[in-house]
Amino acid sequence: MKSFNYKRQNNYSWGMTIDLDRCNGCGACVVACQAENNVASVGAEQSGKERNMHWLRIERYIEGTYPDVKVRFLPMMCQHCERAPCESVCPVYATYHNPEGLNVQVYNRCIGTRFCGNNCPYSVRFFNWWDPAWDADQANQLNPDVSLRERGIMEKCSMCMQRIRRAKDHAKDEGRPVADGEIQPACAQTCPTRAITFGDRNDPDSKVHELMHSGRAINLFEEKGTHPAVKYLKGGAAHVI
Amino acid sequence: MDRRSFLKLGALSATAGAAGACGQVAQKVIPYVTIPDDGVNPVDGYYYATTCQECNAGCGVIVRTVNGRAKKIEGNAAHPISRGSACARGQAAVQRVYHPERLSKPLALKGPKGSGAFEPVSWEEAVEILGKKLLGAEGQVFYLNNGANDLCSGIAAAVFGAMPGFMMAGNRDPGVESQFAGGADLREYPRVPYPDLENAEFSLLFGADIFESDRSPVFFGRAFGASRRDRASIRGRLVYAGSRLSSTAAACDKWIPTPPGRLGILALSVAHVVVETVISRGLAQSIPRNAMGRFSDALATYAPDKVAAELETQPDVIRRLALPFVEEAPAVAIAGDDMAGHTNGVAGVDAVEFLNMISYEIGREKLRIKPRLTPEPDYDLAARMAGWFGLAPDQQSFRRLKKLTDDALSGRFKVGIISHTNPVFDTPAPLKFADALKATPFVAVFASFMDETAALADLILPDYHWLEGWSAEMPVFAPGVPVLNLRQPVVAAYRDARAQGDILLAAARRAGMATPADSVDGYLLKFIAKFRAEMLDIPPLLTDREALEYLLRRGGWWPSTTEAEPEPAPGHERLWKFKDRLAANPPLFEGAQEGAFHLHPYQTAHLGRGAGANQAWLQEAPDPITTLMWQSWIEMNPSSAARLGLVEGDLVTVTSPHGSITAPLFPYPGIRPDVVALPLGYGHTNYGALATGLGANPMALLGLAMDDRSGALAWRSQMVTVKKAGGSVKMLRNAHPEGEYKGEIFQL
Amino acid sequence: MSSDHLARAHGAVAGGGHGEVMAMPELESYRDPEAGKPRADYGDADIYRDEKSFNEHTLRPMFTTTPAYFIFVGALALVMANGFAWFTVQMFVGMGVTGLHEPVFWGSYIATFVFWVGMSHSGTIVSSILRLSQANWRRPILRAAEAMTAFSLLVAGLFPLIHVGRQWRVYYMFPFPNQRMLWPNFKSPLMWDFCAIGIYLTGSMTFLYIGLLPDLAAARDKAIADGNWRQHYLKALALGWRGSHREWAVYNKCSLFLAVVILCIAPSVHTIVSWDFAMTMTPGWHTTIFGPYFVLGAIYSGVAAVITLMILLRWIFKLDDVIREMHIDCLGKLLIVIAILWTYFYFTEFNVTWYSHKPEEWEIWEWQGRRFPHLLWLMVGGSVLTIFLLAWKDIRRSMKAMFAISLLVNAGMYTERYLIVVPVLTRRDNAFMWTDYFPSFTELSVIAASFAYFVFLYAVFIKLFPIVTMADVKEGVLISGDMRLGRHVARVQVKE
Repeated sequence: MKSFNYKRQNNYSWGMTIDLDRCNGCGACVVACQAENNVASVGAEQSGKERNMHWLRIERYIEGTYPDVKVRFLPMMCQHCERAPCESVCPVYATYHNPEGLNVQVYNRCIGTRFCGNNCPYSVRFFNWWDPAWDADQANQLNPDVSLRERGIMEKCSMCMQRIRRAKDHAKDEGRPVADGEIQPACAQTCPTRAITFGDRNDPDSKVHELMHSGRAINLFEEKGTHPAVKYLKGGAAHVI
Repeated sequence: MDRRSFLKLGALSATAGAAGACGQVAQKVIPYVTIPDDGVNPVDGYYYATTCQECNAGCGVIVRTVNGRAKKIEGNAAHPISRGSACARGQAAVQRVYHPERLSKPLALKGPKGSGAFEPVSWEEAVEILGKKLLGAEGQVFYLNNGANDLCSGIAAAVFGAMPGFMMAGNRDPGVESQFAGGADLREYPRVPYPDLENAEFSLLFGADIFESDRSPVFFGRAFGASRRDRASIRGRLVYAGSRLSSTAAACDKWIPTPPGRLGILALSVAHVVVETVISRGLAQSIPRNAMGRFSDALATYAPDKVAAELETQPDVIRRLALPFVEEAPAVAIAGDDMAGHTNGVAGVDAVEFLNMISYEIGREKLRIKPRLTPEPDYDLAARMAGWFGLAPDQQSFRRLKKLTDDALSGRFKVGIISHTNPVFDTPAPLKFADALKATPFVAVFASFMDETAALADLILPDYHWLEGWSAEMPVFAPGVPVLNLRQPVVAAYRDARAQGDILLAAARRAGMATPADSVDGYLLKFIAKFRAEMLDIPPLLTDREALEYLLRRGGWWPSTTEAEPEPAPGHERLWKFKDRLAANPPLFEGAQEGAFHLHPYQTAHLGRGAGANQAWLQEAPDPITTLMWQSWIEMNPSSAARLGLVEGDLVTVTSPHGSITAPLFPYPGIRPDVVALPLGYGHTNYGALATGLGANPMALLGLAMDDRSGALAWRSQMVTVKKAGGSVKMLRNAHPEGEYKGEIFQL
Repeated sequence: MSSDHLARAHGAVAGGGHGEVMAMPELESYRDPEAGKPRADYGDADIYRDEKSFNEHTLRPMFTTTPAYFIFVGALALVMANGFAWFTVQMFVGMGVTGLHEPVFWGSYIATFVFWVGMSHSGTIVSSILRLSQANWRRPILRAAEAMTAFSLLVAGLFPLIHVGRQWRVYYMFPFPNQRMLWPNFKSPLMWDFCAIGIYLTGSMTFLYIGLLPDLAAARDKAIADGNWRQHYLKALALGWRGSHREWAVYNKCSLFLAVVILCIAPSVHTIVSWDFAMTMTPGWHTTIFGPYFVLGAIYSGVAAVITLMILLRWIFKLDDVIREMHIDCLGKLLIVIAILWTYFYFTEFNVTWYSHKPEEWEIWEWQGRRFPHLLWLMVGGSVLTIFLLAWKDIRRSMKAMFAISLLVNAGMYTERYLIVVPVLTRRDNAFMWTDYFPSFTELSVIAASFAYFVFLYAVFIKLFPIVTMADVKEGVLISGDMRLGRHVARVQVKE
């Protein structure tokens, strides 16, 4: 039965598409990410100092002036660049590219030089300025699959690595590759508009592969040459009414 | 497994979990993220289907539990409302279960009312107190909840309903009753339809903040996404008309600013164009020509050329908005808050219904798939189901709440029972609900947290979080099919909580009343037995308990297909009912004066009416539009702000005849210059450390203006004056004030 | 000058020991034979009369300590203790006590780090350039400059440690592998930095120490003669220097070699520091000019710092005869050259950005102009104004003016470092994350402590080691003289 050689045959390259035409900026993904990944709340004072830890945030841009105003939402998280600027500058390999195309942060290795954060054009890396705190009650909610971080280290979107591992474990037990759609990061799973799609870019039949080749896919900061694994699907229409 | 053993088991697992978690919070557990491929596999956890109760939408959810603790809430993919997704408030529900401020014991008032001198009592004592009071109440009891049609309201109705002086009401989201009432006589069952946004190619939103109100932002989000991009070659277009560019409007393709209270006129004007086009093109042959003539006459005063000036737009814009309704592609109009929140709200919703109906008739004729209006296959069943839960729709209006309050103020009630609603905070100050509570000799409040209403209670009863107890409910808004939602104890009670139903039943027994069941799960089983008699697709060989388990695994009951086609409605007959209704009164505004602004209070996607204000996740999730966190604000058009000499962060005082509040200014170009907007949910005075004192509550400014037809609070009809208060605060915003205008860097 | 001659000369000075008063006959030649008045640089002062008085004079700062010194050091200790206390809080509580936040991950700490690394270029690089170019006026200032290098590097080296989030894991950066044979990432500019600064610190410490040897011997002799407690460590550190021919030969070769090596290392160090910025893809940092620009800036601030120090030493220890107006004048001339070059670089950086009009880079400049106009004026004014001010000899020779100018230059250069780090990070690529930054009290305390630490190290050094390059001065005295050419007297110097 176990014909699928997990080690040898897996050739995953995880990727994500975010459909800007679907995103309505509701922020469900932001809270879902926080709940799944044990991302600490920083409180009003630290929010005021711009030290929010949200791995995923929804950027909101305003175009035009009244009455021709357009508001755009742009969900922004680690882009898992193939040529990640953050990786080369880390002196201790705390961030590196894993074989499945993800940009991985090794919390225990990080010493907190914050160079990676400086070199990230998307500004999606977050530093633990304090020891993240949960009181004894709230700690009941902490996800046991995700390690807690201590002060002085960087963290960022892991594409819900724990869910990828869980799906791969299940697939391995059943001797098969991970099916398309089997892995859903917390943001993609909760997204009411289904704006976020996650999958294996190497699988030509996957949804994410299809979307990435739909002609609507763009990279943010294409000119930087970072080759993100997260593609955005352009939206909008020339004709509205 | 009976409930007792279930709880025992739950308690056991909770103890085990607690024992494991008792040490220090794990600081250096490194599971999946860094371990090698073949490392340990932490426990996967157990997944339970249940129904979210953070708002009344009734989204089915799946909860992941590990070691007896709820960890994560996901949408139930099979559920017709949530369809596998959850919103921010639903996601944050787990934070409420384990909230450090959650009440752990019943609290009995020992001092004067409102003094806050509560003392913990045992549950037996609490039941004794409540039972005694009910015994002496002689039926002069009211029961107020948040408008939910659930097992608790069903039990309350069953227990107290027979008493002559009993009164029941629901404290609903402001303005929704107008959405109920609009086009009510077109439907057999007066509920707000879920417009078929999903299949529409063109959607015209009349102030419908579908992603921010509790008509399930999740359902609408899904429908919106599908409308936009689920079809291969069709991209749904959406246009939003309203006085503020809300986050829903931001998701739409175009925003048309309209003067407050004029959306009904816009709808009628669009209808005018539609009717004229239908006549001139000879469409909709099923509608008698004389009917069309009648509509044409009725709508004559709303010709675009005549009303464009009042709507501050171009006649051409109105014509172009109308065209999709007569063209081949499916189009739908959706009425919402900004239409229903005015004194002429129902008239506007009527006009929207008319627009949908006539468009539907045109489409039916062309044998094209048109948006379904409200396919409710079994109206009788839906109506009966709603009846089982006690709260009839007319009991949920603001008018009813006002009557209850006035009665209470006159001292009519001896006992009041309030369940998970906070009217002291979220109703307008002139309603004097706080005084009503003081005038009622005994008030028992079911609440998990100390809040403004609980503080005025004589007895606070901390009942289960919805993740901990049994319940069943009928969602307030129908997603095209009748839905029964079930809740089950996903985790054992974290605090010493009890089921509200059990307490009500026990207190009623103590008061010598007849009770429909011994316990809440007994009541649920009886309910299921009754329910099975109606529903055919539950496997018939199961016992009631097995049937309940069968349903619990799914999270509730709904027809196995959601694609049920509606009965072909006798469209022209329904339409004919509109003949005298195609008119919108001018809106009435209270407090109008020179230089006054229209007040535009609104629900944010995260805090709703304020129940989420004590949750760090929700406070910290930036508001979609302003990106502000941990504070309230007042939105004003930059041109108005400049005229008043105000810059961002300046504290301004907003004054209405009913009160005045101070909030920092947020200049926002997406709002009309004659409107100021304030978010609900802020300004708590007694709601825990995170929420208390945070921001200002716009309810302090509102009067009691209502829509006459629906009895809904016309919460957008207040006018206010705004002036500089002196001083300024730092705005805790996520977007940079200059950077937020530089979106072009991404070349989207 | 043949090494033989030199050896003899030095032998006469150092080898002779302190006890024996030796005439320095060559000094006579400095005097104008006609007027009997000093006309040459080493002229009038009595200290040059003989070696003993010279040694006494130049060693006085070392051997004589006033109560004011202890008060001063005590004050420094207070500032340092304050900074250390705040740093301890920062380490145990978290980096949150700084003013940093997303995405301003680097702030005043890194600006100060760059400043101190820059300062370190004063000494050794100036010293080696002057040594190699045989500028005669260099002689008294070498020690003070080299010590500055060593100490500012020591201070600079603290900042990465202060700056990182987990100080207790900083050893991950040491270039040896862990048990899984994982080395640090040598692709990271921070690792280059780590290595470059390590090498530079070693090199300049060695340079300082080698240069100290003959003077240590002189100080040792005095300490032994006076029975001073300093003899204990001086004996050990002087390595038994006797001033033999062979010692001088090795010493000279070694100095020359080190001067060349340091001259190669020093620019690489600050180039690498600049690469911490330039190697990123961050607009405003990612520019090829950063390497030379930083090196030049470093020398600029370094030379200015040397001037500040010289004037202070001169004033505090009454070394007017050793460090004379002529030296400050010469340093001032050097400063003009560097200031012109630096201004040119600054102009180039600005001009290229301005002309190419890349929006993200323009935004940074615009923002900088709006947010920090005063700092911008301080920086540009400090450098450009310097060029004009230093053009007047009267100013170059006025100690007060030079002191003020040198401070102005360094204030400007510190500002420049701040303006390199902060505006860029507050206007990152992602406009949504634009922000502002202001250092917190913790950061200011730690930075103040770093300055105090530098002065403290210097103050302690002065009391433990000869601050004037005595042997070099004496060599200068020995190898130069006046030559009569008919009616004229010309300064001549034996070629080294």
